[in-house]
Amino acid sequence: MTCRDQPTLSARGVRRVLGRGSDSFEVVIEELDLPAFARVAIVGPSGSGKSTALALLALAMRPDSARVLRLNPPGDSPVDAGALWLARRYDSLAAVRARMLGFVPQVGGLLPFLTLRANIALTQKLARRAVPGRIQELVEALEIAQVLDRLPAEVSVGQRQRAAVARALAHAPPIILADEPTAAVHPAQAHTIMSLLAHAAAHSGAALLVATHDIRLAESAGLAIAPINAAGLRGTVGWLPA
Amino acid sequence: MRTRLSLVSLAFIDLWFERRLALCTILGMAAVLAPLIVLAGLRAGVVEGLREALLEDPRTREIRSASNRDYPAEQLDTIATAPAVAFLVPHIRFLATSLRVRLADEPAGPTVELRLIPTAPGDPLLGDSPQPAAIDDVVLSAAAAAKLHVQPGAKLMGSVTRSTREKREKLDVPLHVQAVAAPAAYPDPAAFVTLALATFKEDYQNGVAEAPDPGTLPQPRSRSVYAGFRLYARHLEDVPALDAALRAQGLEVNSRAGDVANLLSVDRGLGLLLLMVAGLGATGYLVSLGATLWAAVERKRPGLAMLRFLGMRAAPLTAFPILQAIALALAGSAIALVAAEATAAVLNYLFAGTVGVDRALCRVTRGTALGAVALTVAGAVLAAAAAAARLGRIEPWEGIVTPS
Repeated sequence: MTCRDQPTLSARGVRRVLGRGSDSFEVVIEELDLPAFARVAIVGPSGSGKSTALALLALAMRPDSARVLRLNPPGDSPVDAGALWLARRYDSLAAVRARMLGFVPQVGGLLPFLTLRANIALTQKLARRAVPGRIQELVEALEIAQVLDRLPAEVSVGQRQRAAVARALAHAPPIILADEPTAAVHPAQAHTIMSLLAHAAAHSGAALLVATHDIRLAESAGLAIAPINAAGLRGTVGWLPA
Repeated sequence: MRTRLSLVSLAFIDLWFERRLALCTILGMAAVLAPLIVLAGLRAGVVEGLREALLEDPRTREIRSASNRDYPAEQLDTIATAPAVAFLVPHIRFLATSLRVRLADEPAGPTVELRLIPTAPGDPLLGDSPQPAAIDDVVLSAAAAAKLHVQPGAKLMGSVTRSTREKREKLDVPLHVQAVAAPAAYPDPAAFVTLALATFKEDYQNGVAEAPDPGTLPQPRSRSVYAGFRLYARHLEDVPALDAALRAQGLEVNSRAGDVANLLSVDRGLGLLLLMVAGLGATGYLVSLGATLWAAVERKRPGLAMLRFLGMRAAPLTAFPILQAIALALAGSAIALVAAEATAAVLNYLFAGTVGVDRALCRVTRGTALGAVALTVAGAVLAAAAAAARLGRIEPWEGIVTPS
């Protein structure tokens, strides 16, 4: 098995019930293997559980149960995240997130009191992984070098999303997750941001998993498609080779 | 170390980012805290001022025998050793306390009648001024010194007369002015003398002591009874109880026990009143502070959840709002102290002399200032810690799904 074949992120039977009573629904990741260097889009309509699935995979949401939830990035020790959740080792999970994951939320998720530069550098500080020249390289590629010293409120939505992409990549994580990263930007910018994300992930050798409702956008950015099957309120995410 | 610095700088950058809100919080704290500090200052100025004024006047603590009778020396010794008694000196009969005095080098000069007041080391009436040590030493009251036109070091001659069946005798007693007491010590012309000199004079007048040989000092004889006493309670609070205890022993005494009891009652009442007002104010202040900081933490929840998601551990995440609360509390109490000091200065100017000469109406003491800062910081830390404790349980997904 080559490095490319090794699953960087594996999930089996990861479940989480959301809501209460008759309004509750369960999001299930039946089986997911995300190899290193993969570029995949989880595609499904609104309410199909894409964001929840992504939050579960990003170790940001506690699963109700998980048969397998494991990270095994190249060059790093494997992590049994399911066991960490079970043992309530939240700080250990935080350390894993800081070191192994990059995340692009729907609307940037930048800290409003930090400049774009400080927001982008934050992941390097928290991961304690300074990568010389990487931030400069990223901001130039994402074309936000001119606005780095501005606060998020002082730049456009598109620039905020690009900064969020840079923040997700700054500490060179082996896994990048993005939840509808183009939802808040003008359609004309959506393709650019998606392509930049895909290109930057490929360039840094990270696995990329994007949740989107726009299958054409995902395909145009060269992402493999993994449909979330919302039969009723259950979903199964599978890896479809590109 | 780098992570800690990063946390501290993050907390302060966030405060600076929300500086208008932070300023509102700080001013809100100061607005409630400053009147509380002024209130405490008034308590210190008015009540403590009155108490200190009374304490400074030793006569407030004075208890003296009301009439002349025979007090056994042993009984006076027992009273003197009671824990509530700071000082006791026996007295001679009142009629024997009068002494005519003139300047020693002016035999034909005018005489002044002085009241002899027996004293001893530690007499609160004399305070820090020198005490008569030798039998011929006297400390004059300011009024006596003024009448005699003398200063410390002057030589005086006291004149004691007695009448027996056979004849009328006169004894000249040389005296040395050792010091002049403060005007507050005794208002009338008087001489503080050793108990030995006073008892000698009384004994000589009673015919039980002989005149000393020429050129020698009087020789006192030991006494087993005295005509009276003068004592001082150790504390102001001891006066009423001591007065009552002496009366219970059958001793007639004069004191300001009633005034002291009234003052202590006013002190307790005013203290309790101020405590209740200050307590209500402080409680309201802490509730307001807690609500403000709790709301601030809730407002920052999405950002803090994002920090948690990005990998910040629970402990520093919890410390984040606590650090901010401490900074706000320090700034708020600093402004409150400045405002309270300014208010105190205005009050002291407007009501100068109300509670005595050179005594401030409102005194913001160091203890009050430290107490105010400690109360504010402790309240802020408690409120922020209570709010931050919830942050420790925050689910990181709140940071990535909540718009920010």
